[in-house]
Amino acid sequence: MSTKLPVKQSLPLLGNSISSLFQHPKILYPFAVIAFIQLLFMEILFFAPRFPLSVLFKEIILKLGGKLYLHYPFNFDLVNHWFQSGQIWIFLFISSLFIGKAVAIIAKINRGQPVEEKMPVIGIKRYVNLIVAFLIILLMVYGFTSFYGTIIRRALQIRSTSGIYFLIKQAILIGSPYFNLVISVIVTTLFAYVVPIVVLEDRNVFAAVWKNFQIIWGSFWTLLIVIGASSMFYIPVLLIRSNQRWFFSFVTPELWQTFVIVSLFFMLLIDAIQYAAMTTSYLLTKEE
Amino acid sequence: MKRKIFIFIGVLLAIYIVLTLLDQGEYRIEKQLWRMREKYNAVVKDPKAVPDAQFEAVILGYAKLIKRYPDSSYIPQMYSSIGSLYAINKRYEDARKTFGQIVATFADDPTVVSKAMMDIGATYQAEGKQQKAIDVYNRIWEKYGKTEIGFMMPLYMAGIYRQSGDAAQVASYLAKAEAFYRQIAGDKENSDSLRLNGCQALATTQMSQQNFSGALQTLKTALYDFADSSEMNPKRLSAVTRLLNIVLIGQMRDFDKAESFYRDFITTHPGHRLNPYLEKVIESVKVLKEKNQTPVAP
Repeated sequence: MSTKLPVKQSLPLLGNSISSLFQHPKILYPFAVIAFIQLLFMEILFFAPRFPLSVLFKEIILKLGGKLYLHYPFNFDLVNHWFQSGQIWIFLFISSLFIGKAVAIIAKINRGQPVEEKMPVIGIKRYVNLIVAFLIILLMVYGFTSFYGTIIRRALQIRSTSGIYFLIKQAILIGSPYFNLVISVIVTTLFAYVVPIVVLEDRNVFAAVWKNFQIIWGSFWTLLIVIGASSMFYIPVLLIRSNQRWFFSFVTPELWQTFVIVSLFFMLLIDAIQYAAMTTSYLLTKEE
Repeated sequence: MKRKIFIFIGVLLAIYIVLTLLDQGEYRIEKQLWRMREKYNAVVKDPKAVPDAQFEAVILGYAKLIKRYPDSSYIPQMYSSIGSLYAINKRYEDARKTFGQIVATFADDPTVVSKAMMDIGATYQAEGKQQKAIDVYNRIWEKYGKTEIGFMMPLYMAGIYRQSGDAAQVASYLAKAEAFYRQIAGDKENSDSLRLNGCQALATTQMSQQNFSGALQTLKTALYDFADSSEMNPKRLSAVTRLLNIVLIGQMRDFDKAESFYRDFITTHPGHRLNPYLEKVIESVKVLKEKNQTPVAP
């Protein structure tokens, strides 16, 4: 039988997760690798319209984007649009691997075992299962956001410019990024133990999902608060992104791109805190 | 771990520095031009509120860029911005000198020269020297009639005379425009794009002459003769059908004729790639007929 983690443990769990990152910075190393790969990808996209990379990329950019993206400052739009598209593949094939390694490191620290300089090895079988696990999470989030997209399309048909219907329309349209954040929090919580089970128990993803749903309910609300609270740190980023047009009127494209890069680091830090919490919670609540 | 993080940072910085040094393109110039454009926009937003020193500072900024990058492809744009700033500041002689420099330096580039000459003409118009402006526009038409700017000159000049109320000159230039565009549209040596532009401009001229049946015939030629051309893309087709609707519905007030016009094309060209769009146009004509509305002129 799994142990329940009461809701009052949520803040200590969050605090413990944050402090463990400071006490054991090795947990951050896999996330540093993810950051490096993301920044490398962004850098390649940044230089893609310029010589010498334009020799390879110019025709692709012309075909997929247009002539505008070969010139300043529209090359930044190219960077950000294509980076967003590439993020899915990075999430599935790179983040899955290194988050798996981070979970293994966190587990070792929690068990008081020594952590080597080199990152733990994740075998092919576990890697494939991790990819499928992340794909399931991605599809769940995509499913919910598509549903919200249907609501947005309906809201756009509202013609009122004042009154209750107008307020509903505005709430749906303006609240879109925050709703997506809430969806992400809920889905992450629902599947919180899948990655630790795949990495630590070497189970296939479907068995891991099954076991996850058997034991998550004892700590669901605790984890929801922890993941929700840590995700709140991303709200300023969402606020700024929602008002991108206004910011563009007085920041240079380079400054905006710096903000995008900083928000990447923010996201990875939040991921580190969340996976530290999820792994710790899993180790506390799993079946003996 | 710290060492590896420094390695990551080092790799990213090294790639950035190497690729920046290797780039011999115009990215740097575009960046500086963009910043100058921001200053330019700040000045033209409210020129009366801007002190002369600010105008001079922006002009000097462009002049410095021209001196630093004399071989850049953006030189005409930089000169043009300087000339525009002079014109906005009502220093028309200085503006014309600057635009004249573009004409002299880029004599081999018809597109650049026609734009610069157009700007010269605009400064004469701003000074109220209409005849001098017309002389410049006539020269553009004569020498650069196949550039984008030169192509529109006869209609543009007719418009200037229309504004000044000179009906005789309006009629004269419309007649010259008709002959010019008919020649362009009919010359099979010209590209499809230019010929189609000619058809559209001819139809517009005929509409200005109140010759709606002539305009209808021209647009019918444009649609039928160029239906299979790659130039008859969605944007072009939309422009042609808009003109047709203005003639058939806006002027002739004949919804049934409009419907049968498009239906005839569909019937004589079964399975043609343009048919789905024309079916939509027929639907919109029916809706307009029900509401008894007329399409808005472009």
